[in-house]
Amino acid sequence: MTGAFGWQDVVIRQNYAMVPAPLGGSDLASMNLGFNLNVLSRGSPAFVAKCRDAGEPELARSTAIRNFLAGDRPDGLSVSPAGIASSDRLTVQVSRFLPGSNLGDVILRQSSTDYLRLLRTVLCGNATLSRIAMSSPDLLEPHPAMLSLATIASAVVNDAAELAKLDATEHSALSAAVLAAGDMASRPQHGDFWPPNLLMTDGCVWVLDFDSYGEVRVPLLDDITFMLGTLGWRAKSLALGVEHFGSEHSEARACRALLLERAGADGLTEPQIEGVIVYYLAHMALEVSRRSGSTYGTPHIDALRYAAHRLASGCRLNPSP
Amino acid sequence: MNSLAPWLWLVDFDAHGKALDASDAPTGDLAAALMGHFAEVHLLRADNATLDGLPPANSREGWAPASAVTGTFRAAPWPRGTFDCIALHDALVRRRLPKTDVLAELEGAHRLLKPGGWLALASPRPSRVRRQSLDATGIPRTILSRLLTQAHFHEIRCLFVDPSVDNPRTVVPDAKPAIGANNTLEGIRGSAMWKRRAAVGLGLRSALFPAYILLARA
Repeated sequence: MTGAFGWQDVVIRQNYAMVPAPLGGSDLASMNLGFNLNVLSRGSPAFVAKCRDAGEPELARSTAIRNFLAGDRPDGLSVSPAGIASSDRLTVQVSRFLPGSNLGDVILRQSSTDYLRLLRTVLCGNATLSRIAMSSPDLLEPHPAMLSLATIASAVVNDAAELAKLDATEHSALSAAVLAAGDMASRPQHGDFWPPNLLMTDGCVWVLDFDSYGEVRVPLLDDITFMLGTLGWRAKSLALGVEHFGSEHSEARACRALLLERAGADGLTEPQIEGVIVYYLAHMALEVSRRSGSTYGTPHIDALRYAAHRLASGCRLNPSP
Repeated sequence: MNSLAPWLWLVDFDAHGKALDASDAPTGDLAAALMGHFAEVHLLRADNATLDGLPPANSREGWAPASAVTGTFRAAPWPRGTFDCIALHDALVRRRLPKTDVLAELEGAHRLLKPGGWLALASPRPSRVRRQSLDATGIPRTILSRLLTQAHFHEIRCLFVDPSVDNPRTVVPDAKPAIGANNTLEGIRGSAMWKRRAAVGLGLRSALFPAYILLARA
């Protein structure tokens, strides 16, 4: 490596793919897509270079999306621009390094009030990004305007129910939830909207990693991923987070009210929210277990079991706030 | 690229003619990575068991190794100065050879490399209890560096690997600023950060990482 930096100024970090998009496959080979370089300047990280094989089209796609969405939005979600370069062997996406804490760390230290404020910023900010993305007719691949959750989720729910060794009643309860969701308007999602992909720095929340942006179209999936994910982290387990979400705790009611508000903006009803939650839990249980084994998969399976048990006993995961 | 192969981007090769995959990787991933950098990739394995599955796997990926050989560096069939790169990774460590045999193998690798060619070899950090011995848990970095020098390699770079040679997630140059930056990247704070800084200050950098890779220039 030549130029203004040398080999001692580069930290290599493997670049693992997202848990695969719910509409995509689950090929283990796609788990590791390349590598990232953190390039140092005067001993501090200055640039992030995402490196992929030459000719790999995803990096150009995500760079275009990122640059279209780029902007500092102190009241919403900010996106930093990136450049892209290719040789005959390598494609590299370069952007400035953003210092700061990922939201997974931030939310652990927050009071309930601050957490709810951040949650609103993130969910509403993500909706704004989605609207901006949809404003360009050519930015994202064309998709049907409507989708059927049952069509997308049935196989996932069946496989996850088998993995979690659910009994017939619990399995049926999950299937009924996605079936009841019916058709819904397709909305582009970030697709990997978990807390480490959001950074807080300089008073802004920055979104990272647009590799799968728009491939996932199930509305509200980003919101549920972030909300249940962070509630789970705060509660020390995803199952406890899901339980807390459905409780009468004031924080839980506020979360459900926010989710309902966000769902309303996308034209979704409460049963449809319930269906997307079931889909999220089943998808994560299945794919995290497939990819990362039981150590990482077990908490997701536990959360799915909790949800199935709750639904089978006639309770809702998302009672009216 | 689910291996240590990205190190290939951290050195300047004088030429991109021939590379030798002398690891014991059963998947062919390393050979495939080398194929992206070199016109020809040859395979060397210590035994037939690890060699047999590779050519068919490579064939499925659409390429074939220029040659595939079972044996050691000392008895390798290629002429002196054949390769621009030899990727050994932790295969040598796994063979649990006595120090004299490790040195002989490294001398053999040096012989096969062109002047200026690069050798990459890795090892887990051995346990503290058996730090000074060459055992199955790894070879201490200082010993392996010394053996490389004795084998006439003249430039040796060390990069630390975390969490393991088999499943590397982070590769960090052995340099204080890079290790400090990695602490930042990993979000290490508080007492953990203080301990790591102290270890770096005391020259115990290798103790912070479970494995390392040495890049040695012939």
